[in-house]
Amino acid sequence: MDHEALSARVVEAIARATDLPLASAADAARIAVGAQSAIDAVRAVGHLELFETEPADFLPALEQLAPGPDGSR
Amino acid sequence: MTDVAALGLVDVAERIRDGSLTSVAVTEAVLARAEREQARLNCFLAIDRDGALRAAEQADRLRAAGQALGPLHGVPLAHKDMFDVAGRLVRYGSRVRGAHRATATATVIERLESAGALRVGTLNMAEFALGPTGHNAIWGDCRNALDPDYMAGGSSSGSGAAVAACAAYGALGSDTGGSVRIPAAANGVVGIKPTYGRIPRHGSMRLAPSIDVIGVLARSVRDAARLLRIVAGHDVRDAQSSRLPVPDYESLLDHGVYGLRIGVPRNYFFDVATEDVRVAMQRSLDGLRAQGAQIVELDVPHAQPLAELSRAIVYSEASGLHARWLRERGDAYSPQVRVRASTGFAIPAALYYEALLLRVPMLRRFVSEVFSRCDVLHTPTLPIPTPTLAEVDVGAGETLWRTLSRLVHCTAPFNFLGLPALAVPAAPAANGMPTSVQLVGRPFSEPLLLRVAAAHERVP
Repeated sequence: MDHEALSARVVEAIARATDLPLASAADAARIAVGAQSAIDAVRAVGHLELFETEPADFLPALEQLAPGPDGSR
Repeated sequence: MTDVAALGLVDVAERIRDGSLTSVAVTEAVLARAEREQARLNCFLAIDRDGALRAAEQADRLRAAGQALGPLHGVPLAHKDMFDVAGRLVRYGSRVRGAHRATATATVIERLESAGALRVGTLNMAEFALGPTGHNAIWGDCRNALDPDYMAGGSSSGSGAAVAACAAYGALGSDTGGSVRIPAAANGVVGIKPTYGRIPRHGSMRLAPSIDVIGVLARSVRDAARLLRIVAGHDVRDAQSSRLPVPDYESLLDHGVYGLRIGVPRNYFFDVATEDVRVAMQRSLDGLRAQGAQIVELDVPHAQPLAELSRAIVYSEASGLHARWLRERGDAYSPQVRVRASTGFAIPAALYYEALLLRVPMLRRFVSEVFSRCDVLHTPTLPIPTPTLAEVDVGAGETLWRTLSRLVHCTAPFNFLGLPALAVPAAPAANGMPTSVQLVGRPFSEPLLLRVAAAHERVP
């Protein structure tokens, strides 16, 4: 399926639906570019198993990967 | 005659302790420097001469009375305008909060004050920490301490500039995409973004709580190590603060780098690096090799999307936090910052959640693939020489967005991964401004990063 980028028009529609005031169409265009870059990054990551994790696992994962008291693993 | 304001933080703490300097003398010297530099740099939002001198007099009285002295007894610091101090205006570099006064004091400020530190003022910052350059359309731009024509970097702009200008011996900042490391690099000082969860954030401004980290800036690795030791450690008021014990970072600084493997990425981190930055990084590596380190080249997994993945989370959470203010007081934002704070509205919630879920498997893969082959990763902090303020101003035209993305090119990936990263000054670029080495390690490896950074400081 072809990938269609977010447009300023879509951002303006989201803004109306969420009661977000936008100063100009130029602002909507800039938001579209920034959001699309972030969306593309998520889409670009290859398949990883996500059903076995949750966001709250992040700090425990960091602690588990820490070196030992003498710097060893 | 000794320039008291230019002494190091650890040095001045020892001199106050042994009585060769008083806190009042030290604080007078720092206040004089701060007041002089403020006109040149706009690094402070407020200077509190009376409050600082009262605290210094009290510190000297306590010492004279033989009271127990903390590791920063009588030492003047200053912090980014995002840490609550009960009864004080805390504006987050914005005008949206009006005359909001904090009702409690942030954990990190409490810990520094328990260690004996005092505050000479509140430091400038990017409005709501949403910007990497040091611009602030509300309170005025902060300028680089080494040359005011250059950007101070952000978002902890005042922290970098004030520490470099000797208007404070150290400062707190925050880092959600590079906001400690970029101003540290631009102003030629040391900046540490510790592991996510190492420093508790109770009472500090939230930009994106899944990513936000408080960091420290100082003029040497030893000074930064002392500050980090004091503010790190679990706090029951921040559920995302780690319970792992806090090491004595200073005691490990002189252990050298003999036998350590220093990793240099072949992919991504040097993609946009200029030749003078490459030369400065090589000089650092040569110096570390001469001290016994082994240099290892390696490929870094998923390097390309890491920075943007971080932004997917930051924009989403920032928009959620700002939603009501944007609706009710949108005009109080500067135009650039209003757009940045609004971007998350256009990121689907499912994509945001997917980015959050990706962190653990990507962290595990990164640590497994990178830190099985090296002990510390060595990259530039900024892949380009520090730009002038004009080059990163909204009037700069088409090159602006390319330059802005390059400022966070090397820093933002490690916010997504939550890994500790340290910026330490390196050889000058072609424009005469310092470059900066970024050292990155496995989670909670701050002692190792500080040890390598101390060895880097010994590189001629």
